[in-house]
Amino acid sequence: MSEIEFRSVSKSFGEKKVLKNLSFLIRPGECFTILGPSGCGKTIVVRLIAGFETPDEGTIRIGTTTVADGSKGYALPPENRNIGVVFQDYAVWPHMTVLENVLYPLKMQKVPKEEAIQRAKAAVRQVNMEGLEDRLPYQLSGGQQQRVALARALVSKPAILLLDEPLSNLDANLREEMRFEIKQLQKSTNSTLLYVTHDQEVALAISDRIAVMNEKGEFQQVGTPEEVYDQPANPFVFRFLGIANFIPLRATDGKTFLVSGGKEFLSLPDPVQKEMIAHKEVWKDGEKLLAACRPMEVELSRTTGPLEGKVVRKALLGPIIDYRIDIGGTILRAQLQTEEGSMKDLLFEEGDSCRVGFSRLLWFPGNGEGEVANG
Amino acid sequence: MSELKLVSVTKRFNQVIAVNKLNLEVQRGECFSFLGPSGCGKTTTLRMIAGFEDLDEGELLVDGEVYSSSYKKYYLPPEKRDFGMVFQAFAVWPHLTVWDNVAFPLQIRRIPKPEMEKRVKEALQSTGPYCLIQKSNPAGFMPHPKF
Amino acid sequence: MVDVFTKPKISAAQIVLVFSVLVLVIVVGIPVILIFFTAFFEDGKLNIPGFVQILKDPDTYQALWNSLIIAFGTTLCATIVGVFFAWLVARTDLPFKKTMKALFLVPFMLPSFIGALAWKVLLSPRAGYINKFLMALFGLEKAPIDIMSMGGIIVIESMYLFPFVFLQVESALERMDPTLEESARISGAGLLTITRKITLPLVLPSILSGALLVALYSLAHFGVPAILGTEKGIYNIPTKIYERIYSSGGSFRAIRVGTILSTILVISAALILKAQDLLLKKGKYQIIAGKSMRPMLLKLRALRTPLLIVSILYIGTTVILPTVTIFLVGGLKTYGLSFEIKNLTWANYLEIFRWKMTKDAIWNSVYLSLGAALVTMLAGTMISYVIVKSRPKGKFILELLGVLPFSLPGTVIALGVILTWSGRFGINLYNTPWIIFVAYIARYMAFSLKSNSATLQQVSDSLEEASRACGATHFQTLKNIVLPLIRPGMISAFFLIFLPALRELTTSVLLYGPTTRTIGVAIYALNEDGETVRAAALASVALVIILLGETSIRNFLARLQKQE
Repeated sequence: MSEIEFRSVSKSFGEKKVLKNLSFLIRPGECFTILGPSGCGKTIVVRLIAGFETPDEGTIRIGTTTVADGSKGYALPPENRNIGVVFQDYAVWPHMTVLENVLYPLKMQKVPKEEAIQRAKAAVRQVNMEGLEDRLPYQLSGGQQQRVALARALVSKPAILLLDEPLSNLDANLREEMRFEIKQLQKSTNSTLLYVTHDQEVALAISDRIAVMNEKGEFQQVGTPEEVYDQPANPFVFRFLGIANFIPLRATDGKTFLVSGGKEFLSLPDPVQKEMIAHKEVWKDGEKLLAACRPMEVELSRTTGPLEGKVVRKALLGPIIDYRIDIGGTILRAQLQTEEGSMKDLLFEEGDSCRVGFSRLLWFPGNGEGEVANG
Repeated sequence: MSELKLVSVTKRFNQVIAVNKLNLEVQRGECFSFLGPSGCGKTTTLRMIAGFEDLDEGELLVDGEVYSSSYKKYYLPPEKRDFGMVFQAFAVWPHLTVWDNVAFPLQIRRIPKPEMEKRVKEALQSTGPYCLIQKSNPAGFMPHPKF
Repeated sequence: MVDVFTKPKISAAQIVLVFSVLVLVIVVGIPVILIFFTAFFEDGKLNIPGFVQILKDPDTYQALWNSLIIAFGTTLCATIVGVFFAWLVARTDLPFKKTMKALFLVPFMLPSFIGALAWKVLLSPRAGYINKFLMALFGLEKAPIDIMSMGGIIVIESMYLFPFVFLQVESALERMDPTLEESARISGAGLLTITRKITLPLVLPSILSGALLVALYSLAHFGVPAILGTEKGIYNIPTKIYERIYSSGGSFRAIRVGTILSTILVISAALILKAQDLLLKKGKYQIIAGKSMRPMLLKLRALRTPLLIVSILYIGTTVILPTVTIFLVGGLKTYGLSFEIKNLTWANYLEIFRWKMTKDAIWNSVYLSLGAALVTMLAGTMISYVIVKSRPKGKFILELLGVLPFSLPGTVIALGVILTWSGRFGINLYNTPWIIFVAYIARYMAFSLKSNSATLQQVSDSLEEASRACGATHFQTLKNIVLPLIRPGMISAFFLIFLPALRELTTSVLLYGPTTRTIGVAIYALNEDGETVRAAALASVALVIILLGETSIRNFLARLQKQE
């Protein structure tokens, strides 16, 4: 159980500078997730901590040891860092049985044979693979191989655990099950866990803290799941954490107007809104701003609501109905539960008119990174 | 648009019955979907309608005309059935340009050139940006061939 | 703060890289450079006019011209035959397909010069058995078929090279996404139109790729032209080089002519390989289907049986006939006798194992090939690892040196090795088995690199990294993880070298001394001396050894495969 610290770490590959001056601290025993799109650099962070890459600049510290220093050009080799890694493709060795795979780290540490077998078997039990010790990987399912990888990472009681998108190759049901198991394991072993993924569901479900990273390798926000979901620092974070509606607006005289088409949107602050998270000094006269909300936060009605809308698309997705509503040049994505829809007479057809309101709106300055197509 | 009718259509692969006495009528202009789990026989049914497989028992009629019948021992090959088909993996010909891909069925029927140009243009416009036609660019290198 | 050690100035990876480069340079690079140097420089000075003059010499010019015609003719025939049979096996309802497919590949296993020997026995204008039979049957005065001609060479070479085309085209046809043709059918196209507009264009890269390989091998072939052409004065480049060197007793002038001809050969080979590379890149269409759906088969109906008979006859003629002939001739008491039991004996075969010349030849081939295969396999593994896994700068030199031997025909490598190891740098290996050994390593290094690279690429980086993360050093990782996983590839590489080396002729024919004959050389020498029966007997023994070798290795590899 150690802490991990990055200090002004930079790393380039050829022309491309993937990480620029990245600094952060992961607390001992914490479950820390880096959440970001593919190719943003989050895997590089894992590889730097593990020792498969050396930073160009900056230092990396695990516990009390500085394991890498860019200015001196050295890095402690991976085998000396006391880490456990679970790779995206599991990396379970195909020519060794389950038990042999899990025994390997203990063999490398020259743990006496009797004790090693005991500990390995215990690790196998811990991941619910008891009885399968003599199987070869090709005889196992994806989820089982993943568990072997986990057991192998845990068995040597490492100071930190690094997990790089370990669940992306599993089907949806298994993913749900496994993320719960990973969380349990982390709690019971009290390891510091760094989890890296592009799946916001997993990140929200298991993390103590989440760092949202953008394509340029910069942390946009670091906070608890609640903070990151409910109080996003910018449109990028908001969009990454779920389906987002963005409404480009221009503020004039305390009112806002749609950028597309110029219709009036809402006055600010609007007493109809139940809750408004004000992003400080967002609205200045003449300035552009962005209103944002989730599809479920769009309130539809046949008769009441501040805005007029027209249904341009309807899709029945089973338990949810998904609508695209045009509120005057800007298209919103609205979702409501099918049952609610039928009970409240909110089953619109394409071309129908409706009234639109919001149960909650977030506000962001300028164009931000939200100047993208909605939905 | 034609009316499609399947009468008691059965298809076997060795001992396994893939499609079992299927009866179906699809009306003109209808958008009809087959929904079912993997391996239930929906692709086989589609392939029988297209003509890539022949039915073992039953009849297939299009617009009243028999396309395949086990009673009359008649089978019309796919190239004569005048259908349009979109395959699961697109089956866009990588060595032909976008234009040639779309124009292919018209070239087979020897449609005169001006008419062909008009129809290809229309078809491409209705499914995607016309400006993407580049006669010199093989379709094989387009990132999302959905024409 | 715990302090950490500093990174060593030179990493182990860099040492291995340098070592690998050295190995390749010495074994491959220097011979090639010397060939070009000797060809273009005379007495230390660049001499292009001399170069051109030798090319214009009617003798060498004729050899060049012949090479071209033979290569062209062989490529044409082999392609037609290959495509025909590939289409037959992959796209029609020909019966017994699996057997047919395996049988069509047998010509690969037979050394083509042994086949040429058999055909000479059957169809030579004076004493050919088939000719004599036909002359008797039809009362002819002259032999109807003369195999010792350009046409003969082309036909025999096509027979043994068509599998190159067959393999590639059959595989492409089988794996082609059937929906590509189905969508053409539904668009209204009939079979002929589909074949013309869809199928053929899509398999064209495979056809051309196979054809180019045929051209490459045909240009570099020694055995068939030597056995069928030399007596009549028909030479191609490799046989001309051999003739010059041996008729002059290894004079430097002859070697120079050899290097000049080699240069032409190498340039042609390089051009062919480049063309093939471009073709494959251009035609890299995704025509391979993901799901295993079978393509539509053409129903042959009335043609089914006739075409089956044609296929069987073809295999019978190209495979069974020559093999049987060799065995029978090897058993004759005297050449020229008819094949009746009273004229056959086991004595010849037994003699092969008692006569020093043949015994030595067999032994030489076996230990030279085994040794070369072992060394090449190990060196190839190490060098492949550096190429595939490391990132030190300058590894492109390795890649280049590794692929170079592919474009060097056996003759050229032999010449290069002569130039390098005949005392120039203080080491004289000429007339020793070592010179053949070094030549084999140079010749087959490319195969080892290719095979090992392929296997190494399948060992994903994360497998090694996981080992490092578990506390293993790089060396321990190589030992525990990488080696067990690439072992099948290494073994594969071993046999990929051992078997061809065992039966080759082209390279050792220029390098052998009185005590260092290989099997191929011995057969050839016996034929040259007119000892046809003994040549055939040795050839039969060689065939048996090769056949045993190939089948037992195939079974061994198949069992290994099953264990995976």
